[in-house]
This record gives sequence, structure tokens and C-alpha cells, in this order.
Amino acid sequence: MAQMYGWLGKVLLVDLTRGELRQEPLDPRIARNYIGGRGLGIHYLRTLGSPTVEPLEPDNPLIMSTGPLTGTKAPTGARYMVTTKSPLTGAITCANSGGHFPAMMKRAGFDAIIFTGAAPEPVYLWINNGEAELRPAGHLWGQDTHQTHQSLAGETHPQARTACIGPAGENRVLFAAIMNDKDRAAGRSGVGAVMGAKKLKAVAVFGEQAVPLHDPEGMNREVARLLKVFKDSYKDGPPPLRVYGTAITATATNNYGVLPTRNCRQGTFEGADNIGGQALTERFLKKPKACFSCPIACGRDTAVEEGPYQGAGEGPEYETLYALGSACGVDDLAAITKANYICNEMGMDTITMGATIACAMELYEAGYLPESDVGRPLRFGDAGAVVELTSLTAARRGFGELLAQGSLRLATRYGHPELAMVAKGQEFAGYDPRGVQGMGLAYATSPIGASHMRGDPAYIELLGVPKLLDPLKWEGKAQLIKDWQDVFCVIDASGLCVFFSVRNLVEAREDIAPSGITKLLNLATGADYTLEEVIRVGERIFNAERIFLNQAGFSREQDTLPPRILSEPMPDGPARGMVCQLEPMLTEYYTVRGWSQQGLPQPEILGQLGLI
Amino acid sequence: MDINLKLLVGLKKHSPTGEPEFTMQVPQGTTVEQVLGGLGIAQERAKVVLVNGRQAQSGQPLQSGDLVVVFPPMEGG
Ligand code: SF4
Repeated sequence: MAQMYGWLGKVLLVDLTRGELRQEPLDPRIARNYIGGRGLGIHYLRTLGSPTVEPLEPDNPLIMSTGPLTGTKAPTGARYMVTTKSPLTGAITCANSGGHFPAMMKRAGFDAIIFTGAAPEPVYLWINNGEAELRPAGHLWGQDTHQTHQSLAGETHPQARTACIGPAGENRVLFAAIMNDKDRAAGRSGVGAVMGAKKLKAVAVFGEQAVPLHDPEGMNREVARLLKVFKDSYKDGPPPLRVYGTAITATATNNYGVLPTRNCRQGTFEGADNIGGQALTERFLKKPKACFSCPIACGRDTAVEEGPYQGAGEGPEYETLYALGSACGVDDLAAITKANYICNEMGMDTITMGATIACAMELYEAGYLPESDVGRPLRFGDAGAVVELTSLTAARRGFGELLAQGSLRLATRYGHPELAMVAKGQEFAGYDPRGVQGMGLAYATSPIGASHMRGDPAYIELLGVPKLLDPLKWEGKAQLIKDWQDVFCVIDASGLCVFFSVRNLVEAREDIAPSGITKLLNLATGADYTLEEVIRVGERIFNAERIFLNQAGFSREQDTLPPRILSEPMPDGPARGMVCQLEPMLTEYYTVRGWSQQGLPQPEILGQLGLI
Repeated sequence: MDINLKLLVGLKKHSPTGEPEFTMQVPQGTTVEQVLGGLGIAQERAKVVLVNGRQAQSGQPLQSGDLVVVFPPMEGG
């Protein structure tokens, strides 16, 4: 087989039902047409899975895939994608994570790992420099993610990197995460519950194989140039993300009046300064932490050393501070940090956890949820309740059994589904779409349900990266969201981190052009992509995901937002009086995408993308 | 007239009081650009300028009591 560049050239197929492992060469045509990562994820999901499968049944495949830049020197070439059908939403999900596991997975010899079936007893997968085996994991079942990481380092290799589930994944909490390198999360939509249903506790990897590059010298030169530009742009002081972590975003969202507060009953939070980046840095930061090949280091190594909420670990991130904090009306940073540690150790998505508690608080205050069901009062602002309910959810004990199913099922059970702040059944990220109009369209059309990471217009609408647009205007946002969604597909397929890419590897033209990524991809793979071809790959991935969604029963009716966002004017702050103008944006968006007004990709665009 | 300022995320060093939040006296009709220029904040450092929570227009004259929030270029999360 001809040498592939940017790749180890191998895919591992693990049939958990039979306990059989098989290797396959990576198909160069598929790698070219989908770049890798998220693109490989949707390709394999469509090939091996079915859109109508029950997500927790054995025939739902779980795919871990890296990109051609993962494990290279390309700045932030740290990431992988986990793709499957989500038990939370019934839609596709692709959850992304960095740290060091993805790079090590590639260096251990595999570009992607595909799990099918379900093991009769708990197992883990151990890959040591190209040799893969399934091992019993009964002794690890029940351990939290930190203990599992420790145990695996002891019984595999001291430098092994791990991705695992905690008790929440074992208990099939519908928003359980897959945690790697202890505290990094492929967080959203319940990928950890799928892993738990497969009785797959962990994947441990170790390897020393280098990723072969088409033009290693060219890559060295380009990386040196990018790092110099990066360094020069921070002459006046280190990057805000390194100093404050993603928590710094609260400063922007609260000043714009779009920080979701008390289950989106408000857009400004009086306690915002207490949960922002400055407070986190001053009170709990030990040191910034970087993923593989990352010059930014936005990760937070933190500890709470006094009081009732002691603990240590990573985070919290901005999204966590919103969900477990402002959404619940809580500004006790120690309590939020503790609930964040519990989520990491138990393996749960902090966003859905916090937003579901926030929804329960509103149900309780409105008198729809009786105190006897919760076992305690549950008012907004109750920091102790947030910590306690987070633990109960991981164990599915008491009221935690209902919280473990996310906010839409909870609110539906109590007769008020409209109080779940979700799109396609997945909870909002930390932006109220009434004051960031494009974000409303992004939530509604994201294939995985509400997410800021499937085309994040907040960069453009709030932060001016790479250009600044008015967040309160809806006109012209349809094209912007389409372009941004396709560029995010490219970032996610390449194995890069969004945070570096949006400022350093894309250019604002009429559209948004991933020129810097194209250059890196060509140096790594030798594919000789044109910029237009790379943009097309992004569009191909997004449309392939949409086909899967359509076949799973999703169309225009599901591309929507809660009535609060569409018809209750924002009551406070700079966005006061606004609702999200979703309908006109959506109509224009479908046209721009070449989809029918029902949200179905039309033969013409599918033909152009080679998807028929 | 008095206007209120918040210089965020590393722009604090341009504050005359050393604190990120302060009040400043300026003549009627002063524009956002004039205020930022007076504080020595280069245009490319003032990536986002909000007046009362809305993005400032270029040349926008300020009104008494306005809140001007400025942040430098940053990525979010
Ligand atoms: S910017 Fe943050 S999340 Fe992205 S690669 Fe660097 S440390 Fe990891």
C-alpha cells in the first residue's frame, strides 16, 4: 500500500459482542473527501450505522476519529471526534476533545477506532504501539474517571493516555461524557452513555510512531511562522485565554446582556463578576494547562482548598460557569467549581447538568414540581442544591433519576416542555439567542442540537473574530451561519482546536476562508487541496450529517427554539425587548444551503457534493 | 458631562485611576474614538467597544451618563 501522509493509514474495528479486533487500511479516497476527524465520523456512521437505531442498542456504532493534523506540530493539532447517535436527542452527535489522548491514539498506530456491538461483561481496549487487545474491566467498573486513569496507568504503561467513562456513563445518564486525560471531555449529547451501554469502560493508548508528513520541512517553517505571528500579536501581554481561561467570556456575554440567567428568564446576571475569569484566576487557579501542541493553554488546573466545597481538578470553563452558575442564579464560585469537579469525576456534561437543574428550579418556583419529588426546596440561587443534585444525578438516585434524562424529558414529565431551554432536545450553550440573533439560527440548525461548537457566531457577533457584526441584527446572518458551520466542519475534521483556528487560520473575506488550515493540510497530507475544495469538504460533512438527521426523522419542525426565545421579549439589559427572529433567518438559510423549505438537502446540492 | 468606562481584560493599565471601572469628565459631543485616543488605547487594541451594551458606531457622539465598555481582541469558549 502506498504511504499515506498525515496518517498512520490504519483503522481499528472492534466488535465488542464477539470480542474480535480487525484492522483495515484507511481509504485514501475517503480521507481526501472528508479530510478526517468529524468527516470520517459521519462517513463511518452512515456506512456502518442506521439513523433509526435505538442509541443505546448494540448496533449503534461509536466512532473515535483523529484528523490529519492531530499529533503533528500544527498548533493545537490535539483533537479527536467521537461520533454516534445520541441517546439524549436521537440525532447524530459528534463530541470533540483535546488533551493528549488523541495525539497518543494516533502515535499508537490508529487514525480511527470503530466500536460496534456490546460486550457481555465490562472491557477496556489497550493499544500498545500498534498491538490492540480487549481486556476485562470488571475491576474498574464503578471507579470514577480519575481512579480509572490511575488504575490504567498502573496496569498498562506509565505514559499511557486514557479515555474513559465514569459511573454516569455506566449508569447511562443521557448526557454522560467520555473523559480523557482525566478532565478533558468529549462532553455533549451522551456519548458516555453509549460507551456505557457497550460495557466499554476505557481506551488506553501508548505509542511512539511519528505521523508521516508530506513536507516535514515546509511544515516546520509554517509552524514557526504561525507561532511567531501568534507571539507578536500578544506583545502587550499574554493571551486572555491563558490568563483567565474561557471563563473570560462571561465578561463579554454579561456586558452584551446575553448571559443566560435563571433558565433564560434574564440576560444579565448580577453575580457575573463573581463567576468570571478574573475571580477564577484570583481564587482557584494553580496553573494554565495546554493540550498537545498548543501555544494558548486555556486549560485551568485549579483547587478549592477551603470551605465546604474542597477539591482539585480542571476547570470550570465558561460554559460550565453559565450552566451551573448564572443559569441556576448561583454566583458561589466554589460551589460551581465543586459541581464541575463532580461532573468530571463522574463523567457528565456540565452544560446539560447545569441547564437541567436550572429548568428544575423554574419548574419548582412556578409550582409545577412538588418539593416532595425533589426531596428539598429548589429555588434559584441555591448553591448547595446544585452540588447535591449533581452527585445524585451521576448515581441516578432520588430526584437524580429524573435529572439524568436532561431538561426536555424533565419538563415534559411535569407538563411544561416549553421551559426546557433546548434545541433538538439539547441544552443551550452560554448565549441567549435573543441578544445574539445568529446564535439562534446556529442552535436551531446545529446537527447535534443547541451547541456553540458547530459554527460559533459569537466570535463574529460578540468578539469581532475575524470580523465584527451587530448581534442584534438578523439580516445577513443566514449566509454567515452557513459559512461558519462549514468552516467549523473543516476545523473539526483537521484535528485542530477552534480557539486557535478562528484567529490564526481563517480569513474574513465576503465569506470566511480557512486558508491557513488549507496550507497546513497540504503540508501534512500532500493532497494539494485548493481553498475552494476544502470549503466544499466542510459543506459535504455538514450535508452528510443533515442526511443522517433527516433519515432519523428531523426536518424544519425540529429546527426550532423554545417559545421563550421566539416570543417572550428579553426583559433586561442591552438586548431588552428583543426576541429571536428565527423564522426569516431559517427560510433564508435553507435557500442559501440549497435545501428545501422543509430542511431537506436537494438533489442538486447533493450531486455537487458527491453525496448521491 | 460625565461618562462611565470599563476597560476589560488587560486594558486596565490605560485607566487613570488604575481601576478598570471609572468615571470621566468629557466635553459635550465627544466621540468614542476621542475618548479611547485620550486614554492611549490603540485602535486595534479596542477590538470591541460597547456603549450601553450596544456596539459603538464609528464617530458616535457620547451622551452624559453613557457606559462605555472596551475589550481587546480575545477568543472565547
Ligand atoms: S486552546 Fe485550550 S482547548 Fe484549545 S488546544 Fe489549547 S489548551 Fe486545548
